[in-house]
Amino acid sequence: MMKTIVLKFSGPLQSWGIGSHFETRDTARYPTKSAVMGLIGGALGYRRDETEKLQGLNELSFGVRIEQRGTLLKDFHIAKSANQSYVTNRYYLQDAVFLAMISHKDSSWLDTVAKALVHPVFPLYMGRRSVPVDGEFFQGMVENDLLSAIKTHHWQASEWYQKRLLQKNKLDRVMLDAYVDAYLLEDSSPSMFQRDRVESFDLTNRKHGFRPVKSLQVEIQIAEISKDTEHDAFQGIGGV
Amino acid sequence: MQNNIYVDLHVLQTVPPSNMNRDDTGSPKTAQYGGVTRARVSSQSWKKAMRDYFKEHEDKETLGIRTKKIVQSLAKVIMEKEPSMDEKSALNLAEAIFNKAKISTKDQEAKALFFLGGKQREKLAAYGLEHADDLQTKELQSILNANQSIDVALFGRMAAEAPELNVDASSQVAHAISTHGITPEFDFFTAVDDLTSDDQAGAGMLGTVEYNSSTLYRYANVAVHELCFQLGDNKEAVMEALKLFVKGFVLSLPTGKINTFANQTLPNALIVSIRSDRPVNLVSAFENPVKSRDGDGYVAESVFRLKAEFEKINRFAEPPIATFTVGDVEGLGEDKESLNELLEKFGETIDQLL
Repeated sequence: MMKTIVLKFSGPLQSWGIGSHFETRDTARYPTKSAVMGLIGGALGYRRDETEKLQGLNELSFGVRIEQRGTLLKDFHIAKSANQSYVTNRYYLQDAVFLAMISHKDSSWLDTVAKALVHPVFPLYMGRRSVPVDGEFFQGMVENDLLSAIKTHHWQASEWYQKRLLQKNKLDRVMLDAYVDAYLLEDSSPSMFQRDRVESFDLTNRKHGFRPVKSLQVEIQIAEISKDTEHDAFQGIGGV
Repeated sequence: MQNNIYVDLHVLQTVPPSNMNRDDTGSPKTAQYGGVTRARVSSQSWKKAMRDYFKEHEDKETLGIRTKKIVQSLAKVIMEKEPSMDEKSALNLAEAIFNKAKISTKDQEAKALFFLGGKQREKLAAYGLEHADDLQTKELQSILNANQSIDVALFGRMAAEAPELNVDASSQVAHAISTHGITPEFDFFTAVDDLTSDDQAGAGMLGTVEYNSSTLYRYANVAVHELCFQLGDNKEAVMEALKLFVKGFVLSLPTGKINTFANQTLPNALIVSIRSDRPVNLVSAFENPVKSRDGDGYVAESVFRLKAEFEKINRFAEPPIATFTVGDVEGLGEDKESLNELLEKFGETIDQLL
């Protein structure tokens, strides 16, 4: 049976840079694979120059589902010295919620990754050091392959957001966008290429490659808006 | 598995009308969370305040300075060591040292702000004087990579031109956000010209200042195991750095418009947790914005929420090794009378763990 790790990225701010250069630090609309693989590498204690180990993480299958889109925030940042200022504009997503799913057929490797995520060597963050993951970040491991998990996992948007969206439109289901490694979908839909394949995080030679990605929409039935969002994060890895 | 030691700091702090950290239009920074606008003080702003606190309060030797004037700063140390050297040759030697270490300079200044530790300056000067005619890139870079100052280790260093000198920070400081929704407020002001004649009723100047008041949730952590690695397992330096970090986080305040608003407050509540699994940010306690019921304010409800979230998280994560509290929060661990008392007990606990 395939297993899939489910991570939740929520909190006031997150930033998933893609193709940022110089003074403008942008963010993608949803978590990038390179960022999440970097986070896993950090959890496992890989240092930036351990390129081979980091590249190995590309082997993990990856998918993300957009639970709550959030909006874009521009953060004006100025660093001053005696006679000059250096201005950067850093973009964040605010008030967004995403689920990231990670899977592999080697379930013992997946167990190692899951253990590291709840016992990380380096502190984990959502694209920038100043936006740490919150307490609900590790949602556990489900007994499902990645695609089925992404199609069935219950909707994790905030209660206010669910209410607003569902009540306004009198809906009992919601359509969510998901983006997965292209090879997971065996249909004829076209792939798009996203520059978030880990090549090197070495600071002297930072490099990202292209990754084929396919998008899908999943329909999640809403039984009722659950007030209780608690979860047992450790059940999935055999408890603690 | 290696032994993780994380220190989590949670602070609730009320600030009256203020504008500590503003954007390019002069408005206080904000963020959306839980569907409402929150006051925000950026991570970088509060870290600047912490570094200023560090500078005022601790030993200059172990601290770093962040400057473009790295050449002058090193030349000064060179001249102290070798009083016979004139200023010009000291500056030239200092510049040669940096250039050889692949930090380029223009008009004897670095092109970007550079974090330079006191010990690094000492060692660079000593090495430079000894090997003035035969400077080695490798040697110089290893001096810069070792002997890290406390604040470089804690806050990291980014040298765009010589990435091999970059240091990843061992601390994380989150953006502070209000536990409740805010509405921006504007203070309309007029200033009277004292020398205006009586028949002139107009103001000399008028304008508006945007501000808000908030109860902030502030969070930071330190990966102590990584700090040990960075400081070369120098236990004394690690302890000093940690205590300084806690004090700096608790006592510092960004100075934006502080003279206009005098928003000099201290935290209402502090939780310091030592954990062996992972750092835990409790901001989700405030995703549902706190409301001021019957005009009771935000602090009491924010403390209640923070405690509930702390307890909830501990049901999932491993229980912390130790938890200390000061202020309006009790019952989570050892409650202390004062920050100093907390630091003492905190220090003892860390000392046993290292």
